[in-house]
Amino acid sequence: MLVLANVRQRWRTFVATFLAVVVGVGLIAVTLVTYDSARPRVQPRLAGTPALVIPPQAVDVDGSPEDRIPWSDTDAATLTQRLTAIPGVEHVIVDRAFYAQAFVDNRPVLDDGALEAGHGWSSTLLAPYSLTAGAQPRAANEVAVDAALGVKPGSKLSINLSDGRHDFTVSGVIDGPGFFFTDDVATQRDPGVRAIGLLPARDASIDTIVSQARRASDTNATVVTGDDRGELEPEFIAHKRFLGTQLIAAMALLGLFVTVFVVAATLVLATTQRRREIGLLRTIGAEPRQVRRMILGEAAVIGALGSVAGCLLGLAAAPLMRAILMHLDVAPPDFSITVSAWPLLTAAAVGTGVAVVGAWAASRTASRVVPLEALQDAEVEKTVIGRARLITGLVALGAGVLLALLTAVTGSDNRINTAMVAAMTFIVAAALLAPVVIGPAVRLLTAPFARRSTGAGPMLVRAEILNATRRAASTAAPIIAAVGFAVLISGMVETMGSAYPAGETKKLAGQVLIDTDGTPGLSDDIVAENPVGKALVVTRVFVPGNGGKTTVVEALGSRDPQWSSDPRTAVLGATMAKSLGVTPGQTVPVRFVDGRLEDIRIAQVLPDDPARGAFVMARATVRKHDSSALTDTIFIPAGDAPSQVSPGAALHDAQTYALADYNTDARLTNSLAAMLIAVAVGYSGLAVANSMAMSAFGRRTDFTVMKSAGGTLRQLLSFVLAETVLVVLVGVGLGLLVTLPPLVGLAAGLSQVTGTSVTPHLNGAVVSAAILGPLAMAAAASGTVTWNVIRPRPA
Amino acid sequence: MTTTRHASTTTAVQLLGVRKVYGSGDHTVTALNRVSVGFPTGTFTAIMGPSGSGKSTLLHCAAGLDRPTEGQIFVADKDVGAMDEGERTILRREHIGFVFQAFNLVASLTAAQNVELPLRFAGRRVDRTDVLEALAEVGLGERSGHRPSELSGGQQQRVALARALITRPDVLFADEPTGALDTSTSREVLTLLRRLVDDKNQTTIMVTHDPVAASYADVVVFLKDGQLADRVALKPVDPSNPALIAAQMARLEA
Repeated sequence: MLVLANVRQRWRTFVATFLAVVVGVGLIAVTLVTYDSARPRVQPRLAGTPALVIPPQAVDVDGSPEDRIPWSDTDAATLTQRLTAIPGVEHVIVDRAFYAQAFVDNRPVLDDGALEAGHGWSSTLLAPYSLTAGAQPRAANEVAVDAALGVKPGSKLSINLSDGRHDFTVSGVIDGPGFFFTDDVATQRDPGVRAIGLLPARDASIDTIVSQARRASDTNATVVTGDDRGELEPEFIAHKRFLGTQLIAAMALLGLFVTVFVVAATLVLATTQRRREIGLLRTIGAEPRQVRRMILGEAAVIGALGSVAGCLLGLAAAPLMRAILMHLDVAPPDFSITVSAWPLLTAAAVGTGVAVVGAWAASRTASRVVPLEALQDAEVEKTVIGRARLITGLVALGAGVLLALLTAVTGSDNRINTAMVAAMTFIVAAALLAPVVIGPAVRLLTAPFARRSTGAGPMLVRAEILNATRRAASTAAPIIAAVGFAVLISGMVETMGSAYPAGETKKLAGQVLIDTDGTPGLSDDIVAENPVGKALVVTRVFVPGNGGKTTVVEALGSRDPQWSSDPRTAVLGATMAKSLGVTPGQTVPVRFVDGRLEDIRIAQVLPDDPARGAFVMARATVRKHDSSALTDTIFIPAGDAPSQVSPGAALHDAQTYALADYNTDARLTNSLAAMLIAVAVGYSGLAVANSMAMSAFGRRTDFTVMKSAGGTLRQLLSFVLAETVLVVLVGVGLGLLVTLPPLVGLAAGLSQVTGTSVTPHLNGAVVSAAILGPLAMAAAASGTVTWNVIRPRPA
Repeated sequence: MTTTRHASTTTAVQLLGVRKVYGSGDHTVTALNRVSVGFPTGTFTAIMGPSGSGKSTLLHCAAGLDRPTEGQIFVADKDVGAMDEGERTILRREHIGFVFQAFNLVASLTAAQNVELPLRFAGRRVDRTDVLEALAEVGLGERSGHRPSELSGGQQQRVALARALITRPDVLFADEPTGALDTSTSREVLTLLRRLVDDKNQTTIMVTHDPVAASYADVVVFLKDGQLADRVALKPVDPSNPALIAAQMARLEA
C-alpha cells in the first residue's frame, strides 16, 4: 500500500531513477535483441538438406566448446555405409570445404568465405544448386563455379589453392557461390569430414530417418535438423559474430553498471530528502527492516515500470544497432533483427533487479534514520562518511589498482573489457570516497573568493556544500562516472594506439614481411618463392586435454630446422604444456584435421614466446595432414628481401606492417570506444541534470528563507550556479584523479611489454566534451529548476 | 508480547532520576538533570518551560524516541532506558501514540491509510470499521479518502490524533500539537484532546509553550534548566487558568 502510494505521489523524486532504468534496460534490450538476432543461421548452401550428421565437439583449453572433431575418411566411409542403409534415404553426401579463391587479371577476387569456398560436386545437392550452363566437373582439372563470377563454360579460370594457383577449365556454371571440383579432388584437398548430409526420398518421413540415423551413428555423431543446422557455419562468420558479441557485451556491461550506479546515486539522494518522513514512520512503529523493505519495494516498482518503457526503447533502437554493427562489419552478412520474447523478458528482469540492487545503499541509509529526525527542522548531516562506506570505497580502490595492472598484461582480446571493469571499479571507489574529498577540495577552491569577497555568495556556497557533503557527493557521482569513462577509455585507446605499433616495429626491426593481399593466407608457392625466413603454416589439432575431453588447439608448422628436424615431435610453450597436462618426452596421440591420429612426442617445453608459437611442429607434418592450411606471414631478414612478390601477397617494411596490423584491430577498438564514451557521457549527463534538478527542488524552502533574508533572484541564481559549477569541478577532478594513475600504470606496463617508452596519451577533444557536456547539462538543469521555484508569481 | 496493560499501575509513565547529556568532552550540554516525575493514568499533563529548559528532551526520552544518559523511565511497567532501538520501536507501536507540531502525516497516503499505518507496521489485521470509527471520533468520518494536501491544518492534526489512538496506546504524547494552528482550530484540537481524557481515560502528556493550550490540562509541570521547577494542579475549565500559567511562566523566565 505504502510503496505504491509513495510511487504515485512522489513521482518527482523517482523520475531520475525511472529514466536511469529506462535507458539501462533500453541498452540491455538492444544488445540482447541484437545478440539473439545474430545467432547462427543455416548456411544457404546447406538449406536443402533436412538432416546433417556431424561429429562430436572438442573444447578449447578453457573448456568452452569449439571445433567439431573431423572423421577420417575411413570413419566417414563406415558411417556413410550405415546411413545409406537407412530406408528412405536417397543420398548420403559427404560434405567437404577447403580454401579456393579465383584470380582474375592476376588479382584475387575478394571473398570473405574463401577459406571454405572449395567443395566436391556432390555438395551442390545440399543447397541444392543446379547448373545454369555447361556440365558438372568430370576431370581433376575441371570446376563448376558461380554464374555470378561471369566466366563461361569452357573458359580457363585461375584458382588459388593452398599449394598455389592452378588453371582449371570451367565445366559449367551454377546458381550459387563456391567452387565445385570433382569429389575426388575434394577428398584429396579436405580428407577430414565435418558433416554428412542426409537427403530423403520424396515420400520418406524425415523424423523416422533422423531417429534411425541417431541409432546408426551412436555416440560418435550428432544428427542436427532445423535451425540447429546453424552449428555448421563458416569460420569467418563465427569470427564476426565473436567481435560483434564482444562489442555488444561491453555495451550491456556498461549499461548494467551505469544503471546500478545512477539508480543508487539518485535513490540515495531521494532518501536524504525524505529523512523526515521516514523518521515519522519510525516514530509510529515502523521497524528498520520495514523501512528498508519499503525503499526496496519502491525501487522494484520503479524498476518494473522503467523496464517496460526500456524494452520499448530497446525495440525502437535495435535497427540502429544493427546498422552500426553492419557498418563496422562485425555482423553476419545476412543479419536482420528478429524479436523473440526472451531478450525482452531478460532485460526487464535485469532492469527490475538492477533497480533493487541500486536501492540497496539507499535502503541502508533509510533504515538508519532515527525517529527523532521527524521532529527536527534543519537536516544537518552528522558524519561525513560511514564506516562501511569508507571500507567499501577503499576495497574498491584497491581492486581498481589490481585491475588496472591486469589491463596492462592481459591478452588483447580482453583488454578493452578489463579496462572497462577497472574503470567501473575506480568510479565506484571515487563515488564512495567522494564525501571525504569534497570538504578539502571545496575549501581549497573557494578559499581565494571567501577571503576577498564580502558578498553572501561565496559564504553560502561553502557552507551549503560543506554541511551537505553527502548530497554534494551524490550529485558529483554521475560526473565522476562520465569523466572517468571518457578519460580512461579514450586514454587507453590512444595509449595503446601509440604503444603497440611502436613495439611491433621495434620487435620486427631489420626484417621485411610478406603479408597477404586480398587472400586469407599465403599459399605454398609464395612460401617456396621466399625460402629464407620464418613462415608458419597454421592448423588445428585435437589432443587429449585435462579431464579427458578432447581439446582443440592451434598448431603451427615451422620450416625452421630448429623445430622441424624430427617430423614426429612437437615443441610446446610452458602455458600450453601446463594446460594440456603434458611433460617433455611424453608421447601424445594427436588427431589432425584429416581425422587421422598420429603419435607425437613432446620434444621440448620452452618458456612462452609468441614469436615461436605455443604448439610447433615440422611444416611437413602439418602439411601431410592438412592440405588446405595457409601461411600467415613470412618474416625475412632485410638483407634477403625479395625485389617483388607474387599476386595475393604484399611486401612491407616493419613499420608499415606494424601499423597496418594494429589498424585492423584499432578500427574496431576505436569505434567501440567511441560508442561506449557516447553512451557513458550521455547517460551520466542525464543523471547529473536529474540530480541537480532534484536537489534544487528539494531546497525550495531554503530558497524562500534566503529570499526573505533579502536575496535577489539574481543573487540566488548565481549562488546556485556557482554551487553547481563547484560540484561539477570536484566531480571532474575526482574523475581525472582516479583515471590518470591507472593510465600511467597501463603505459608503464605497455613500456615493458613492447620494449619502447610509452607515455599516457589523452584525447583532448573527448576529455573536453566529457567535462563540458555534463557541466552544461547540470548548470541548465539546476538553473531552470531554481528559477521555477523562486520566480515571482502573480499573487 | 504479554503485558498487564492498564492493570497494576495507576502511573502510566514514571521517570526516576533521569539525566540527559548531549555532546562529549568539553562541549557537553545537560538537557535534563536528575528529573523524577510521574504521570498518573487517565490524566492530562502539560509540560511547560522556557526555550532550552529540557521539555522536549523529557518528552523524547519518555516516549522512547531518545535514550536517557542515566536514570529509569517506566512505560507500561517496562524500563525504556534499558531497551535497544528494536525494543523501543515495538514499545512505541504497542503502547505509545504521537502527535507533533507539523509533518504528522505521510503525504502519499489517504487519511484512512495514514490511520491504519501503525496497525500495518505491527502486522495486525486492519479492521476497516475500526479505522472509520477512529476517524469519526475526531469528526472526520466523511474525509477518510482525502490526502493530507486536501485537508486543513486542523483536520490533518485530527487525522494524526486518530492514528495515534488506533492502537489504543497507554499514553499519548503531543509535542506542540497546536503550534502551527490558528486560535480557533487550536481550540478544536485541544477540546478533542480533553474529551479523550475525560471519556476514554486516555493518559496524555503534552509539551507546549502556549498558556492557553496548557490550560486544558489537569496538571502543568514546569521545567527550568533541565530540572523540575514547579507542578501546578488546575481547576477544571476555569477561565483564569491561562493567566495563572502565564504568570508562573513569566516568573520562571525572569
